[in-house]
Amino acid sequence: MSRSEEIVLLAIMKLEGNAYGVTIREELSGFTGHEWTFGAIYVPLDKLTQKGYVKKTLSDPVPEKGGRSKCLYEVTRDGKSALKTIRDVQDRAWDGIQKAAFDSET
Amino acid sequence: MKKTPLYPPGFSRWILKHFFRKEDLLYRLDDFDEVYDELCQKKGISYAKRWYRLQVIKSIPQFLNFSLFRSFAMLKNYFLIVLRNSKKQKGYTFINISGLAIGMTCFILLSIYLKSELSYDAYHNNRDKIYRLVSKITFGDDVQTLYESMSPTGDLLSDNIPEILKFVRFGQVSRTQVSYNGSHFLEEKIFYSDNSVFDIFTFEFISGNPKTALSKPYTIVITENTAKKYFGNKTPIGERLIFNNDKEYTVTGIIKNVPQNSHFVFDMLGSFETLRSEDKESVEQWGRSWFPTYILSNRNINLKILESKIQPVIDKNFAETYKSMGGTFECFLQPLDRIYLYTPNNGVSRIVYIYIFSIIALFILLIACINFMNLSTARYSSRAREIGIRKVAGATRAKLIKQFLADSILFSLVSMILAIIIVKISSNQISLLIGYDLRTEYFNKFILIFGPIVLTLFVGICAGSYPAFFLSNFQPVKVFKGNIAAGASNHKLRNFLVITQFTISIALIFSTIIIFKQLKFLKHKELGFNKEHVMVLNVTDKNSWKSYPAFKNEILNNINIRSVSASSTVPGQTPSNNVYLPEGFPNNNTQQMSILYTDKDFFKTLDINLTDGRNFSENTEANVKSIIVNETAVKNFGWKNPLGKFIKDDKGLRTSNTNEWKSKNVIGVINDFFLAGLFNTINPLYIYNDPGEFEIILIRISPENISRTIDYLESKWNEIFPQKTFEYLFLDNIFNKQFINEDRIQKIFFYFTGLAIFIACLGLFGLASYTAEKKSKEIGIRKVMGASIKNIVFMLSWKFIKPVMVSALIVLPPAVYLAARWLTNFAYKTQIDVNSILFTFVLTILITFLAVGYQAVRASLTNPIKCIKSE
Repeated sequence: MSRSEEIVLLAIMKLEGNAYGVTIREELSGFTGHEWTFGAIYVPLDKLTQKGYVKKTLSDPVPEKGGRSKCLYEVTRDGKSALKTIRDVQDRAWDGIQKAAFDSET
Repeated sequence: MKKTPLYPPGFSRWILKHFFRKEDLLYRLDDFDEVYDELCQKKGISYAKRWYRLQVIKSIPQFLNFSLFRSFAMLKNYFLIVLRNSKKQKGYTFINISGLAIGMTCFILLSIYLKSELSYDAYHNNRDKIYRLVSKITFGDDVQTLYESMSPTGDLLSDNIPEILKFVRFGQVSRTQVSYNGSHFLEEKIFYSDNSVFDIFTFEFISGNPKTALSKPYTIVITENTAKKYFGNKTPIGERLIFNNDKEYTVTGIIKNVPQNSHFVFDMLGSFETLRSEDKESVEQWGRSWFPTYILSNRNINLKILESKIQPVIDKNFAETYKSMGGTFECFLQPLDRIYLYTPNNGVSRIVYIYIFSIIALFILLIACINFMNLSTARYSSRAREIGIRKVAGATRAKLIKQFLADSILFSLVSMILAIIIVKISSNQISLLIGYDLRTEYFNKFILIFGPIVLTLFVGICAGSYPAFFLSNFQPVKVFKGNIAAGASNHKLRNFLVITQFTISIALIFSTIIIFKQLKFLKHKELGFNKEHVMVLNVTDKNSWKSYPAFKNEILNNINIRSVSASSTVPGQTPSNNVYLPEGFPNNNTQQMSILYTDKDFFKTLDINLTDGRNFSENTEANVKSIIVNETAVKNFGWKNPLGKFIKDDKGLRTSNTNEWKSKNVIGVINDFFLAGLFNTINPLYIYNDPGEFEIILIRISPENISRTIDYLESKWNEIFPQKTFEYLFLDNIFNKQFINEDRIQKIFFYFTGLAIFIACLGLFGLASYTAEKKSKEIGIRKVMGASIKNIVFMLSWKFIKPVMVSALIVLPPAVYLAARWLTNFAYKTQIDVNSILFTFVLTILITFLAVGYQAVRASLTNPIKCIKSE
């Protein structure tokens, strides 16, 4: 799983049931600090769907869209376990590295 | 609150639509719209529109990347499937690929051949403005088309017609010995030309001045290779080359080698002024000398218009002469780009063969593609079950089609790679075959890469479309029930395809047989003389002829030398023609005759018989008024008693007034023989004893000890002609040279036919095995019922022989007609007889039998129990 895919997954998890194109984009732009294009979101989304880490569901019709449904994304169990694996590796990798090591050298 | 609809930029939106799959389309567009609306409200419409457009632009590369990625994954998938299936059916795969590879090889070779043939003379900068003068002379029924004009014609036309800027004449030099600093070489490609040649044609100068190189007599321009040959690394300009130990020529220019794709090629170009200085009248007077003449027009003028300006000038100036002799003279123009392809050579122009070979190569490719279609369909039918399952599992028709197409394109690609390899390997052999060095062909890099790709796709899609569309039509239920009507329903189509293949093959077989017959006929035709064991030596300078009698007397002492003679020309080379006034013809009715100058030993040397009268005397002076003619002359002139009849000629005179012509008398008649080769009818022949015109020594030697005789002759030659290289040819080789073209064509047809048959057989073979498999149950049951192997073989073969017979019936009538048309090009032709047709027929059936028979036999030998059990 690539980095952008991982971040998108995490964003979806944070959004807890309200994850669709626009919200995912806002969330990502929020915690990464730069604007994401839709293209940069859809591509990882499709890949994640192909891999089975994310599934699409249709919400109930919604008035703002003139009666159309929204397409909501959810992280699947496989997705969650994949994320967890990455997190574990991350922890083990960072283990022992002091925060102080990142302060500027004297 | 209902928002007022604000419209996002339409064009960008439209672009977006193409990037999303159907299922995502609406939702994603909505995402864009949502943000757009928000931005419209917060930051205004123009900001929002800008944002929208920017988004789309930024997103495009990402989308593209992803679709490519997806397609790539799909491709890999297809590829693996194809690979797996190929392994499972190795036999079919091999047949398919080899057939297709051969077809593509033919196509590639054809392209190369066409490209080279069509590129002749294209390198000249003025190519649209250069024309060759063509003279058409008619005397009654006899029409002669000459690609030469009289010497002053060029001057006449360029003086009188403003559109004609320049002209150039080319005079050919017969074989010449050229020497420099002790090394001698016999050169055959020396021409004379006016200096204007460099203004008209494009020959790149390496050193020397094109404006003046050939303006003085005895100057010469040579090619790079020639310069190297004589001078090595020394500067050739200013050096002198010696011709025939006699004349000296100064080298005034070096040009780049004349490209291979030129209609005439030379090694040295001497100045035309040389000819003028040697014999002014011959060059400047009408009716004396003829040269190939080319003109340069001042712009891209219409051919007919230019010709219409030329004819009046011709009429005014010298057509009168012809009219007074009872004939007409017309002058036509041949554009440069038509010279190579459209000049008849032995009656046929090259363009005819280009068409023929193109058609054949395309046909072979067609056969290969048909094979492919046939075999693929058969193969897929046996995978019907797999297809059914796929469909049930949700494969759409589109997906299946894509898969089959990918399959065939992949096959096509492998075949193409194979074809390229084959072409590379065989390019040497093929160059020899067609007489043109293919390896020097420069190919535009673009074409080199693009061409094969296009061909691969084209073949893949064409050949694959039939199975793709046909098979994806299967209905799963029918498939599972084992009810695949595929076998029966496309039976007709498959038969049609086999018929097409064999039609082409039969046509080729028949053509090859006829070509073979015609050549054999020509080569074995009674020639009227004996061409075996006759050596031909060229003596090119007049001085050396003085030593000839001594040479002749000396070598006749050797028992291996049977006979020695000298003449102006030798059978197999085109003789000169002239007009004469034979007895019995009115003054303005001159007759054309071929000319042969020779001595009394000529007939003995070539085993030609005197049928009437006597031979020349030994003493040349006694023969001053004597001529010998051939039987055709006697027949054409209607002479009952030819001896003593006179023929008037203008030799030594310069008048076309036949009243002033002098007579000579016929003293003997010889049997007809093919002086001019087998592609021309035998002309009346005028034979005269004028040693001043001799150029060739003929020596009949005994068939034994040939190499010793040659050594002997060489030593004697070097004694008597010390300055000349001893070079000889055998008459039968010279004579057979006229068949070079036809030999080549025969070979090419032979190979083409072989290829076509091979491919068609491959196809049959594959089909037969498929049919055998399908019918294995039926065969098993029949065997059990008591059918013999012979019965079964027959049963299977008959299915295929029937379409082949239909092919034969379709193709033989037009093939016979076309062959007859081709034969009309020959003065002497063989007959198309029933034997040839029958042979073709039988051969085809035999081939079919062999191709099918193997499968049939194998099928009939399988244990019937095995077949029935498989149910």
